[in-house]
Amino acid sequence: MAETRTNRLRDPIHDYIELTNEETRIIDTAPFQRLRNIRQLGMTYQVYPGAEHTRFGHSLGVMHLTSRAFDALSQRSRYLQEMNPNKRLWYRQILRLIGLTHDLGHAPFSHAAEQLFPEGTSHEEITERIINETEIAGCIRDLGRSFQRTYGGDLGIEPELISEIYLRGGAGMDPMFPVLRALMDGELDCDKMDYLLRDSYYCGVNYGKFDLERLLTSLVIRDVHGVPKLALDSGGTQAFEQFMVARYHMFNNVYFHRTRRLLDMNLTEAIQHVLPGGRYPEDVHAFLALDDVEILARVRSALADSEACRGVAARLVHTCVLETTPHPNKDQKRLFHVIRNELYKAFGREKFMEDDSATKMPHLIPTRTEIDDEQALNIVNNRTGEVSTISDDSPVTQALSNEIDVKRLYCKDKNILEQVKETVHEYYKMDD
Amino acid sequence: MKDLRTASAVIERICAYDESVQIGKIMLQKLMYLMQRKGLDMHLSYSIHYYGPYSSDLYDLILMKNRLDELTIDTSSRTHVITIGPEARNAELEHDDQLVFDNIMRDFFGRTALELEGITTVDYVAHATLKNSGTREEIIDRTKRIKGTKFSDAALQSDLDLLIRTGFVSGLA
Repeated sequence: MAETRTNRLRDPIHDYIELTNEETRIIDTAPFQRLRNIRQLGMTYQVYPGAEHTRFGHSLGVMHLTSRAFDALSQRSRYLQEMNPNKRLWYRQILRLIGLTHDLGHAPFSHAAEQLFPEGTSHEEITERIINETEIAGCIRDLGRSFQRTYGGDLGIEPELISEIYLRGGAGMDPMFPVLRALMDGELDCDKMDYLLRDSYYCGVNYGKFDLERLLTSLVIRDVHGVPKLALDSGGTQAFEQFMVARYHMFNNVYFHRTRRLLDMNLTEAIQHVLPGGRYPEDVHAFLALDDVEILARVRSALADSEACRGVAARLVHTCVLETTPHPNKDQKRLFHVIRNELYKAFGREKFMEDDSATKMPHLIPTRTEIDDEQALNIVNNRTGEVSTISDDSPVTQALSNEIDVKRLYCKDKNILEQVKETVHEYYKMDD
Repeated sequence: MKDLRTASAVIERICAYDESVQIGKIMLQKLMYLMQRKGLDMHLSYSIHYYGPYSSDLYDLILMKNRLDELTIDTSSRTHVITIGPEARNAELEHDDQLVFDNIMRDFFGRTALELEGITTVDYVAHATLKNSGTREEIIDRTKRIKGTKFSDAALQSDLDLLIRTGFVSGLA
C-alpha cells in the first residue's frame, strides 16, 4: 500500500480499520465527532437494546469497505491494472473520502425525522454543504495537497470534487467517477454492505449477514461502449442473492419493526415541537449543533407542554390494531383503508396513528430493476460474456423485490382498545 | 421534503398522452428533464449518469405512485412498462406549465428511449457541464466521455442540431 498508515482503530465488524494522518484529521473535526451522537437506527435501541451504535462507526466502516472493494476490483480489472498506479491510488483515496464523509449531513436519530429538513433539502445535500463549508473542507484540501506532493501535481483532491461525485456522479468529468459512485450508491454498495452487517451485529440478530468476501471478490468492471461500469461476475450471483435476502429480512425485522416505526413517529412529533418553526435550521452551523443528546435534552425540557415529548421520555408504546402483510395486494390495501376509515368514524381520528412510511421510503427498499436502470447492477457471465441484471437472473431476487408496503394503524387510547380490536376482528370475519 | 405534486401530474399526463406508445422509466426521466429545462419546475434534481440525466427524486416518485396504486409497473418484460389508472388521466397543470408540456411532447414524444438518452445527454453537457459556453466540438467531446462509442459522431451532431432548433442550445462559442 502506498498510503502511510499511521492509525488503527478496532471495529467489531471489520477488525482493524486503518487511517492515514490526514484522514484522522477529518475524524477529529467537530462535524465528524458529532456523528458519535447520531444513533444509526433512530429509536431502534428502545426495541433492540444493543442498537446503540452510531453514524461514527458506520462511516469508518464504509470508508474501510470502499478501499477493500476498490482493491478487490483492481485485482480483477484490466482497466484498473493498466492504469498509472498513482492514478489508481488517487481514485482509491477519493473513494475513501466519499465513504468517510457520506453521512455527515444526517439529522439527529438518522432517518427518524428527515421530513423536518428545510423544504426541498435532503441529508445528502446537507452533507455537501458540510463538506464544502466547514472545517472538513480545509482538511480535505490539506489531504489533497499532501497527495499531490507524493503522487503528482495533476492528481488534486478538493472538497467540491468529493461532493460532486457522491451527489451527482461526476460523469463527464472522468470515466471512473461513476464507478466510484456506484460503489457508494447502487444495488450493491459499500454503504449497504456495512450497515447490514453492523445493524445486524448491534441488534443481536443474524438476518443481516452475508458472504462479504465472496461479494467483494466478484466485483468487476464492464466495458460499456468504451466506458467502465461496475458489474458483478456471475459467480457472485448467490452471494448477491444472500445479500438481498439479508436486506429483505432486515427491513421486515428491524427497519420496519412495528414498535420501532411507532417510536420514530412519536419522536418526529416531539422533534417538530422542540425545533423553532418545527423544522431543522437552514444554517449549516446551527444544524450541526443538533445531535441526539441535544434533541433529548430539549424534549425533556418540554414535557410540560407536549404530549409527544412526554411520550418519548416515557417510551410510550401504542398497540398496533391493524396491519397489512409486508406485500399487500390491492384488495388487502383497500380493506385496510376501509377498516381504518370505519375506526376513524366510530372512535375519532385523533385516537389513532397511521404508519405508511414504507410507501414513502421506496428508495430504502429493494426493487426490481431493468438492465438499463441507473440503479441496476449488471451481472456478467464469465464464460459467455452475456450481460443481465440480478432481477432477470435470480428468481430469489424477483420474489424479494416485490415491494414491501406494510401499512399499520396504532390505537393511542387504551380505554377504547378492546372495542377497536373487536371491530377489526369483525371486519376480518366478514372478509372471510 | 420536496413538493412533487407537479411532477406527479406530469407523469400521469405523459402516460395518458398516447396509449399506443409504451412508456418506460427512462422515457419519463428524459421527457421530464426536457420539460424542467424549459421552465416547468417540478423540483426534480437531475444529475448525469450512464444513461444521461437522471433524477432519483423522480425514480422514487414513480415507485411511490406504484405503491399508492396510482400507476402500474409491468416488470414482465426487460423494459418495464408504466401505465396509469383511468382516474388519474385528467391531472391539471398550470397554464404556463401546460404550454411547456405541449411543446416538449410535440417535439420529442415518440422518440425512442435511446434517442432521448442521446439528446438529453448532449443538452446536459452543453447546459450543466459546460455552462452554456462550450464549442460544438467541446460539447460532442464531453458527451463522448460519458457515452463512449454508444452514439456515433453524426448522431450526436444531429442531436445538437435538434437542440439548437428547439431553443435548448444557443450562442455556441
